[in-house]
Amino acid sequence: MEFLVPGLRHFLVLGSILFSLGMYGVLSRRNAIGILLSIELMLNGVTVLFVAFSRFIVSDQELAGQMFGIFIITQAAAEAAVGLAIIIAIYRQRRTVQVDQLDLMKG
Amino acid sequence: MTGLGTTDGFTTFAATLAFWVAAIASIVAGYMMVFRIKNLVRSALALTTVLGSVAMMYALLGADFLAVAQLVVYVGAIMVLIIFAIFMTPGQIDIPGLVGQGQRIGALLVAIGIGVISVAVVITTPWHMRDSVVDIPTTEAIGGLMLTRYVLPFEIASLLLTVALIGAIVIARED
Repeated sequence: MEFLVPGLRHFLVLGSILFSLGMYGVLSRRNAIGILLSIELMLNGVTVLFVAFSRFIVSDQELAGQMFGIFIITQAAAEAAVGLAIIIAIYRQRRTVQVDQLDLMKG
Repeated sequence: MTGLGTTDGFTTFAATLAFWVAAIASIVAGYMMVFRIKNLVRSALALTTVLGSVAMMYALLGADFLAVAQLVVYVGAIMVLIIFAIFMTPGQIDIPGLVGQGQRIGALLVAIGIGVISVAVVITTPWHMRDSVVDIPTTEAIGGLMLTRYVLPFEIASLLLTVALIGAIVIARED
């Protein structure tokens, strides 16, 4: 049962799967908040990869991957705050957050 | 080589069990979130499951500070923000919320393509791995790095957060 014990590739495959699930969500949702939720899923998949590399790969900079993870979490917070503010402002004006109905700039 | 930093049989068993529980929970919750659930509040709760499982992954990878930061910032703050935004856009929660059939198939092909390619690449690449891993508390080291090597990104991140939050207030304010 040695192959069940989590090693580098287990975490990398998990991160890749989370990223692709998020990618499908981003491309298939019409609700802007649903798209933001899927983006968070993608960011988490990438962060799992960074932290796994930070632990397993030979490097002269210890913890670089974990620092990347922290900065990803920081920018995810900023992105969620601004994105949701924009969505609420759009909702106030157009009464919808379905992205295919937001065609104000269509010629 | 395993990534557990231990040779103790019981610890290895417990960590392996924890990994598989969290991995299956996160993949099933992520699958439900993008494929099955139409209601946005339930999607947000499924995403919370994923975020909690990912925090478990960080703990298993010896990233204790990051695991706690994940719980505090993502599960504690960002999810509350998202649920508030869902509640402030009434009438949009239950709308089917998916694009048409054609674009869904395209999205599925793109996602499967990227997933298959990246899984194949990470499995076949001969990674240059460490000989052994040790579990050490990372909080002190990360604190030191933030004020030495990563001081410029750290300050930029602070500025980014300030700008983003002020911007969010300005954009969302009623006037």
